Amino acid sequence: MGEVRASKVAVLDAGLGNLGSIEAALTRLGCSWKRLPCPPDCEESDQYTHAVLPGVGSFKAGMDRLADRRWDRWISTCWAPSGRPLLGVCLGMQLMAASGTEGAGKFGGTVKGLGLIDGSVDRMPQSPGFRLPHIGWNSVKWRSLAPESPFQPPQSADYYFVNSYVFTPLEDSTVLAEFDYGNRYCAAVGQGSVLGVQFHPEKSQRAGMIVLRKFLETQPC
Amino acid sequence: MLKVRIIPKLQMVIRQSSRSRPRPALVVTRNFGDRRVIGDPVSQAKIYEAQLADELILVDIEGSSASWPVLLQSVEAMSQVLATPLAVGGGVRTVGQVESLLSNGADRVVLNTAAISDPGLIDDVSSLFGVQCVVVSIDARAHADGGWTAWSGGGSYNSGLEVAQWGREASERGAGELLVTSIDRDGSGAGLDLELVSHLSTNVHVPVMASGGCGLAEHFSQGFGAGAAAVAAGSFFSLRDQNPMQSRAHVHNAGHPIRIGF
Repeated sequence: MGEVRASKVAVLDAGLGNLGSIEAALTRLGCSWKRLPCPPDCEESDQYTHAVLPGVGSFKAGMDRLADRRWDRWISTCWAPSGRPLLGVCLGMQLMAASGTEGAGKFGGTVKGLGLIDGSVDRMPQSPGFRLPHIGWNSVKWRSLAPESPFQPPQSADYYFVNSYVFTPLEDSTVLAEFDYGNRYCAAVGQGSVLGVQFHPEKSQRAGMIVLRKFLETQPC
Repeated sequence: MLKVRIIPKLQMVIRQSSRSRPRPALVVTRNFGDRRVIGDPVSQAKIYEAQLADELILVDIEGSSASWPVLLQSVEAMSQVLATPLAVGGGVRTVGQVESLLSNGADRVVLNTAAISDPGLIDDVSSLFGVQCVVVSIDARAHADGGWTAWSGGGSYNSGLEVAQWGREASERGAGELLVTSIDRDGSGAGLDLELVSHLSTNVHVPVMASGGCGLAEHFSQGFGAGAAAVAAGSFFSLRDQNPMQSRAHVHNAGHPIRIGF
């Protein structure tokens, strides 16, 4: 079991929106964190036990900003190979996908993502009774997770979502949780030390704080 | 299943003092006038979070250059202590102001008067920060023949815009959600204008928040029944011996999906 107080979190500042809320949540959980405006070199990165990639906005703009600051390279060549846990939140989760269609242009096509988890990010179909964006608190059904994993969030809790696009992983085994909005969609994705949540744990009151705490208790693998 | 939302609305003004810096004060209004000071935004927001509020709306009803820095400080203070989504508005006219609010901890920004005088602001904000952070607020006044018109400047000027047409335009330009407030019902406790809520929500594809007139727990259920995804209320929660928790139980019993615990 990891010690939350012993963790030191790298908050990746890629200009993808407000980081203050997630930092305030980390402070409340009692861990130390640092906002990184640009990627440190790999050796310097060793001081961090966990990394968080928060973000809101469009897939294309998000990938452009990650590339501008070279976070894409740092994640794929430095952090991910280290096996230390990475949490993507909202757009930060979607960017972990191989590709996305948001912002690709009016003639279609796709935008390349970080490619940490195979799959694509597409717009949810709009239907009567299921307006977009999908805004508000939705219940999340967690699949049975490996019992030895410290990441065991509470079942039957609601979390705060704001999204029109969803991540559909290619491998069903990487889907950790689903939410229902006309269809079932991926609410949380995980592969190895990489974890992504479509909802905003930092805005999800008690249930969200538990998810963040469980993430901080996960260890490198 | 997605839940309906109950949203306490915090209306802020600044209290000038000769001895100290201007400070924020919470007020409630009636028909957009007749203000009454009821407390401090940050401590009240913490109480609402403890009572399971689904989201909070903070509105600077002065919307002036004097109140702006106080609004930013309040937003920052709130985001430090809350794990609840926060929408902020009042006097927001520029992309730069939106950026300041978001970087101080607002999750969403509420545009009203400036969106009416310069609808392109909605396009600019949504293309820069995403549709998820744009709420367009429509203050509606009923007219004798049965329709509704959007009023700007805190209910002072008739824009001449029909509410559903304006709501549709705003959502096409990039508003992720609409907040409709009945000026006639504001602070009355007489119930939401359900025809207004239904008229707007059937004419747009984005979710609609309804406000203005909640005086009983059943008024929330009625709003959800009329098509609102969320109901916001100011004086209902501030003045009465009512809290979001009791209203939730009522909404739940009326058969609408709502968070009641955890």
